[in-house]
Amino acid sequence: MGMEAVIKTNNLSKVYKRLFKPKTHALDSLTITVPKGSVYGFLGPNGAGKTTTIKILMDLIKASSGSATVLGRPSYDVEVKGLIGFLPDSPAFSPQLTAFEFLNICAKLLKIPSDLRVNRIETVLETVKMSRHSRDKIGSFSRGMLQRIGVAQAILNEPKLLILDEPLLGLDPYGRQEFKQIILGEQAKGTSVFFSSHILSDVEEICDHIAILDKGKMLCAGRIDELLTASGTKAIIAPENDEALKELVTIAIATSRRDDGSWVLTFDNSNEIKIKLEDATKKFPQAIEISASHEKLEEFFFRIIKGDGAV
Amino acid sequence: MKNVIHIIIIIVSCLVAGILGGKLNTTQRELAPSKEAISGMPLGGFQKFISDMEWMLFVNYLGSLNTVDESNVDEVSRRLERLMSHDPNLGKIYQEGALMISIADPEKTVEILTKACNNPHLKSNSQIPFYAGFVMVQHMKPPKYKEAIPFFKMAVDRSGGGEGFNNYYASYYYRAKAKVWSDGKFDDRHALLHVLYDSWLGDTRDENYVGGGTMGGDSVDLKDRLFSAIRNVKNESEDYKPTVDGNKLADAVVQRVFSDSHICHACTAAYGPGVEYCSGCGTKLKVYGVCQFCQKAVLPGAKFCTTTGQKFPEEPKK
Amino acid sequence: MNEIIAIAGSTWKNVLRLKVVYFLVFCVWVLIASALNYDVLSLGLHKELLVDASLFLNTITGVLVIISLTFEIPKELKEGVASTMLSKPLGRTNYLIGKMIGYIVIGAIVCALVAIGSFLIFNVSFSEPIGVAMLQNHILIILSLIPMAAIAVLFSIALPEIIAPIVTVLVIWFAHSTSMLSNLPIIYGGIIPDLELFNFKSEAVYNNAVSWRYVVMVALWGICYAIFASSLASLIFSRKDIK
Repeated sequence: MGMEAVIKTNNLSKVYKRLFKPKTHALDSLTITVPKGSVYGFLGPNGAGKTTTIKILMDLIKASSGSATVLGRPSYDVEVKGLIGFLPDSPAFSPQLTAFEFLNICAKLLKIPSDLRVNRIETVLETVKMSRHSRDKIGSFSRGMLQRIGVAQAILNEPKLLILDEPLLGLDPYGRQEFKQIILGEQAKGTSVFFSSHILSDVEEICDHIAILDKGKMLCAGRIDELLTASGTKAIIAPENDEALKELVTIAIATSRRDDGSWVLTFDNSNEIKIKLEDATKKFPQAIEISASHEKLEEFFFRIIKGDGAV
Repeated sequence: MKNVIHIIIIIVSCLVAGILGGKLNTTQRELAPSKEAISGMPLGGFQKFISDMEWMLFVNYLGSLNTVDESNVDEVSRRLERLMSHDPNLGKIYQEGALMISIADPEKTVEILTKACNNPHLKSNSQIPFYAGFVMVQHMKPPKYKEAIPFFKMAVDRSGGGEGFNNYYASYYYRAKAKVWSDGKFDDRHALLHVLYDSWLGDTRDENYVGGGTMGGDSVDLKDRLFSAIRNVKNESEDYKPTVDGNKLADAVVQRVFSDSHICHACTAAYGPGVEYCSGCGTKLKVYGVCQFCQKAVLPGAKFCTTTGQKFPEEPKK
Repeated sequence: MNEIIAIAGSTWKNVLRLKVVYFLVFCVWVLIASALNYDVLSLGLHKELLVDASLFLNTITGVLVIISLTFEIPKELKEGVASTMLSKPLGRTNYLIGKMIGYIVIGAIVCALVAIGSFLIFNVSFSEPIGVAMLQNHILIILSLIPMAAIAVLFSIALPEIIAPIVTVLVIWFAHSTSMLSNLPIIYGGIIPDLELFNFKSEAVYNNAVSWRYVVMVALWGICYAIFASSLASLIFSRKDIK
């Protein structure tokens, strides 16, 4: 490929073996490459293996097979963690410590020189809008405030790579907006960002690369603009036009019903399909509205996952 | 490689801890020998605290009893033994607890007290061996005088003489010895005088000599005890009549032990310088005088003063 | 080393700010002082009872602190606090040692508070200075926290969350009663902990002091055993998945 990678996995697998229970393949031969400087969205339904992958990258979980490198070094290298910022999926910190004390401990662990620590802590607290609460105990913080402190500790060391597990979870819309700005700001500084999220609109907004995972297997990966332009044609079938629906539903690759009773059918771009669509439009001119599919990430995601369920 | 280092550290630290632990275990047995006597029950190292609690429960239990008799002596003994197994060093178990069963079960009492006598922690406690001997001679039927002697001796040895108990313990010791010697053939007064005299004779040759003179300090000495015994042998009372053998022994003792003392050989009454006949019995006495230089008493016929060494120019003044 | 101190510091700061800790110390003081009420029931042994109660309750306090460690580590692993810490350039061994040292310091502070309180109660009640043996035993109790913390770390890593505290309590309990195993050289004291080495409570009550050399040596044993147990814990932890 020739591009510099900040994360590279090669056939990464994780199998959980439990007594008297069948083996669980949490991750199955995952191979991904996260280019330097990118904002990489890591998507998948619950149990897809996103958190497992992230934890293997952070050496919190041991891979059953395969390898992973982070910033060119093996993921189990302790020292490489000094160059990474990590936010776990549900950040929890010592409740009796104040935000400042907690960040000070993180700064010590990150080996930030003592003369720079206070300044650096104040800066990140300002960045996450938590300066007012720097002397408050973490135990008194709301979920959103905890998430902000989590982000603060992740960017404390001015990392080369940010690995974030569901960073937008628990943030209000205003907080999400701020957070996206932080991510983009970090990217502007040259930091690569790898994060998993369920909020697809936000991912679409800030990511330049995505990978979709399901049941431990990679379904697709690539630049987001490339993946989304590869979509097909969309047909909206007006309510109570069952005949038209019956004719097209068999060749659609995705279907969804709107609240008003109309149906949205998505088709691929093959010639055969195009002919069939033209025939159907002629047959039911009032019922079918054909348009080029400007597929949203959400739609793309559902199509890839092959289901309508919640992500 | 990291795992190998880990395993090496585990093995080395295990070996060092094992060797050090073994040595410390031995040291601990020397520092706290009573640990050997403590029961091996897994009490989390709280044997002492549990024994304290049990002690109070025991006291409370005793308070609920009118008396310790055959109906409850087994329960009291069981509680005592349990206390001992948790803290054999608690002196009150023996001094107060064990005596509670001394009438109902003297054998058990002695058994418990014997254990206490062998406890190095209680080696300076003189009451425990005395109680053991006391129970043997007072509560056991028939009394075990012979077995009680070592306990009384232990009590005298441990008392060191400073507490006033020595005299008391020594009295029991000699009385027990007298009982063993007489074996019912002599009356008690005669027998006591005999063993005291025997002890006096053995002062320099018998290692087992026990008496106030050497063990009790200045408060009581063997001579006082002998003097008292001679009087008891010679003096008639309501329940006692002097015997010929007794008088003979008493005279012999006076001759031997009190030859240079100013007491009547016949009735042991004291007399002063120049007195020729006993005021108690009228017996002719050895007259003694005083040194004209130091005014101390001197024996009849003495040529030199035993205090100043002065030679008397003439017969001492009568 | 700085990382270990940082983790230890966060641990003791986190725990020593809990008001319940001081409430516990206060309750222990009250219980120790209550021994004075038992002069009649103990037939005048209330002084000895006070010394013994102070040692007993201080040991219990120390064990409680150590047991809380067996709750703390699984809780941190479960809630993600450990993940956050271990995502920093901090080795897993250092994390465990930091936790262990943190709890030893917490235990030492709490036990020292209990000991100081009992010294004051003794001094005020009997108008006499405390015995060397009593002082030594309180020091031995504090020193016993070293191997006990290592045992707690080992079991909290090796065993499921619910079982770890129970097993730790049982092991600490039985480690005081294993003298019948003293015929097993190296294994006894090397693998099977001999916490009875720290126990001179009976001697302290009768004011029989032990040599200070013994105290130093037993502290050394505690450190050696802690190295053994924490290294074993670290080996297990290095292979463990952190949720």
